[in-house]
Amino acid sequence: MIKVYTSSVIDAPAEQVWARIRDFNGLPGWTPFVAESRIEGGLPSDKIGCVRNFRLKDGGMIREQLLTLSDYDYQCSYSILESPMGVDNYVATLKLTPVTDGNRTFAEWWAEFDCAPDREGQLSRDIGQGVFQAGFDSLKMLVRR
Amino acid sequence: MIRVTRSAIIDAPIERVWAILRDFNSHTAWHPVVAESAIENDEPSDQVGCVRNFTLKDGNHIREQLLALSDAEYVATYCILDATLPMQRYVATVQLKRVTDGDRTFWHWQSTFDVPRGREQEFTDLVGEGVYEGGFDGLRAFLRRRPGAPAVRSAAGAVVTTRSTITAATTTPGADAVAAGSLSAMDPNAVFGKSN
Repeated sequence: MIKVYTSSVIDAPAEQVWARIRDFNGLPGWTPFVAESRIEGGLPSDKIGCVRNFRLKDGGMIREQLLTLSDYDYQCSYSILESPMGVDNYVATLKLTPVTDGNRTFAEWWAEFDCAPDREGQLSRDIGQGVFQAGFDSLKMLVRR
Repeated sequence: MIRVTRSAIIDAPIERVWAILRDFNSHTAWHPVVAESAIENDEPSDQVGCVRNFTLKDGNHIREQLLALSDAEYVATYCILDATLPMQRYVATVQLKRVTDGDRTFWHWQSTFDVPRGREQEFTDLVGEGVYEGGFDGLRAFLRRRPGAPAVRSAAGAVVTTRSTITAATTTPGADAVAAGSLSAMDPNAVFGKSN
């Protein structure tokens, strides 16, 4: 099991950042790498257990299941059901915490998963920088005040 | 029950910030309202259960006990045992988290406590602004004052980094006595002067 952890500071209030990201079907709206997304079975995107089925801009299809959604803690966790990434037991959490000094947001995004040992380094970089940090960078642009 | 939460981003790596904060007796070096402090019974300042016995610059006297310390989670929890302030059941937690984007530190400081009825706002402001926000500013000033650290750009443009220790800092109390600007958020004499 390896863990990838990425954190950043976003120059907007946490409730404003949360409003952008709480929609489990909203990845195309704020990440630079998701082309389209739908929730399977027509379920609401804030129903725990719902599955988002999305296509990356590079063509890959991923299915992820919502495990936790907390409007109180500004936290969302999900698992990967199917993906071309070659990972097992993948569970990720995205969490926001208010920074009272400056009314900004501390954003954390981490994942734990299993993979072939020789792919750990590359996958850690791809996920930590290519997905999580890229998502934060995109959020920073979107909420710029 | 009052809950006070303050948080800030410190522009230094978590290891450097934690090296200071994990020392339960370091606050004389960086906190602008703390005058003198000693760990009772000569115990090490990272021994869980140790008591720091300190005075504030306004003359108030506080004894606090270290309840938990985690180098793994960058967390310290402590409580007030006695104080010349009317605060009851005060338990506070300091937690640091790494900001991987820029190698900075997120500092979360939270407490719960009770005060006499009618004085909730006074103490909420005192703790939140005077102690916590004042502490953020004080630590930032402390980090800037330590020679060469975290990184000082020389005239030639090279980045020069040197180690500093809290021990070295406490030998120059004059320089550490006042973090410019930090006291402006709080006038302890004015606040405490209203007591009784």
